[in-house]
Amino acid sequence: MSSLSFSELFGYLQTAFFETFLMCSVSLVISVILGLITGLAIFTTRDGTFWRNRTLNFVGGILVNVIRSIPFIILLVLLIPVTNMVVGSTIGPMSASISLSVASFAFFSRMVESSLSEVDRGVIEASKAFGASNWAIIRSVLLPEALPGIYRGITILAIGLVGNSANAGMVGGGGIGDLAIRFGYYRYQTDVMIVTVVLLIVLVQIIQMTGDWIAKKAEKR
Amino acid sequence: MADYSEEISIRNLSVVFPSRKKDITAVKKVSLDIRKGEVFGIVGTSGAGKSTLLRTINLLQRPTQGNVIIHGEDLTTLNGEALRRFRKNIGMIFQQFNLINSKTVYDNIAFVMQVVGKTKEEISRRVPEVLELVGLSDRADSYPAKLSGGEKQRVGIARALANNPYILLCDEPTSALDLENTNAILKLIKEINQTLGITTVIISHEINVIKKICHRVAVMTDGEIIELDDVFNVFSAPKHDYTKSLVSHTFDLELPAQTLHGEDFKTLKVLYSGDKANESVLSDATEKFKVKINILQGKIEYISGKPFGMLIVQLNGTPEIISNAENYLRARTYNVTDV
Repeated sequence: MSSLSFSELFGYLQTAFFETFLMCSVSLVISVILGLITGLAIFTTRDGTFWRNRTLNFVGGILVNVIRSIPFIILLVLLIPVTNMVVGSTIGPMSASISLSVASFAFFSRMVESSLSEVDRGVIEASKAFGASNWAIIRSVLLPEALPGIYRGITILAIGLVGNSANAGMVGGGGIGDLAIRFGYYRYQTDVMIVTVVLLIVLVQIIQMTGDWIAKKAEKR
Repeated sequence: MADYSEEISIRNLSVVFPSRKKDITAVKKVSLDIRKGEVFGIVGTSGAGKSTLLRTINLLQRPTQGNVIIHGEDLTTLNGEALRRFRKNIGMIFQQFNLINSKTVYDNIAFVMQVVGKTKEEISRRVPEVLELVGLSDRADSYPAKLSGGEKQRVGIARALANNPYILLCDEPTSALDLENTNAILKLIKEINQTLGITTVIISHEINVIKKICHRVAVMTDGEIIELDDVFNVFSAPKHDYTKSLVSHTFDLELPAQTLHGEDFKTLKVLYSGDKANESVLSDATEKFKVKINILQGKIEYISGKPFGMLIVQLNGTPEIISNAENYLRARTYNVTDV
């Protein structure tokens, strides 16, 4: 088996990069939306500050914990029927996005919850004292105050997705991680391995720097 | 029109915090009336329940028992929307200022107006007004993180006044400030009380805060009000032991024990308010009873704006002379007590 030529490698890399980008961005958007909703639901039903609701709080917490307990590779397999139903296929980046989203939203909802917990109770109480409704407080106080933390959470989430998308590649999702395994590992092409790893490092670095920059902007200090 | 001379009536109010081991009663059957336009102080140690009591006035803390009646309306019967609407009548400032860090000074104030349904025009008219009132007109676009503690509290006050409330609640408003800012903020609260006639309830563990701006004060320990009177009276004639220790720094001076009591002399504390000319009282007594008067200590304090003098004097003479002179002083000064 011959080594890949540069132009062949470039072609593979292009496809792989696009697949990784697709998987990560689709699942990032879905998990941010779902995670915000779940995290907010868990936080606001926790005690009497907003709407105390033990049942909702308990069910939400259990759901998140169950998903987070399952190793991602198992979750990928478990979700095959769901993926098939939603996307109509079990392979390809879009299918992988479904499992990635499920795993990541649970993780992200805990990050949202912890960012919300860090918002000063006094500020929420002050808003209540001035007659603000719960929704007004959530929209204008809770979320804006938690935003720097949420941005940091999204950064961690995005980087985690890049890592997880490599796992998804193993079950037919494609992407950079898949390329690294197929050529770099199975075919002993160390050069391909190195190129893909370097690419992943650069990608992660860019995400981290962008995330830090946005979070700092949001801090208003 | 109804007479609101008693603006806030707290009736038989208790707050109990349920706890696994033993329920904690933070406020025990408190009843008190706060008058329209006064600055009412609540003083006590931390954990005395004063903060909890204050927070029942806008129902941030729902009482376990009892009522809070404002302008004839029982707040404890209000819920949800009705309670929120009522709360716009009650401004509040906090020890830690509690400003929204992600919003500018302008937007912090605008927010509390938005939530009660004020229009953009009303907001853009009112915000500069209240900022001017607290002397921060040039800070509208700053974020709270850029402000000093004193400035943050000024924003807090501006925010509290934005909806034209008739009650202002102050929860330890100066406890996070240095001395200079404390005085400036107290002065501002006092000015606002005088110019707007807003009924002000202020809690503090610092007796000096009370002394500077309150008309009346309630002293709290262990969830109960143990003393309630004009600040002047509480300072000059504290009844309860706790109150005595609280005001002791103002009117008790440490004196060596051997100067206090003897066969032919007696040491007295003479208090006089500013309108009584004390100097002549002492010399009159000397002339009238042939008593020798020795002044050991003296100072003048300002309590809610009124000058208040104190002298520690030693009367020398026979027991009869001392007793006559003491009675004479008692009749002509504000208060005379044994030291």
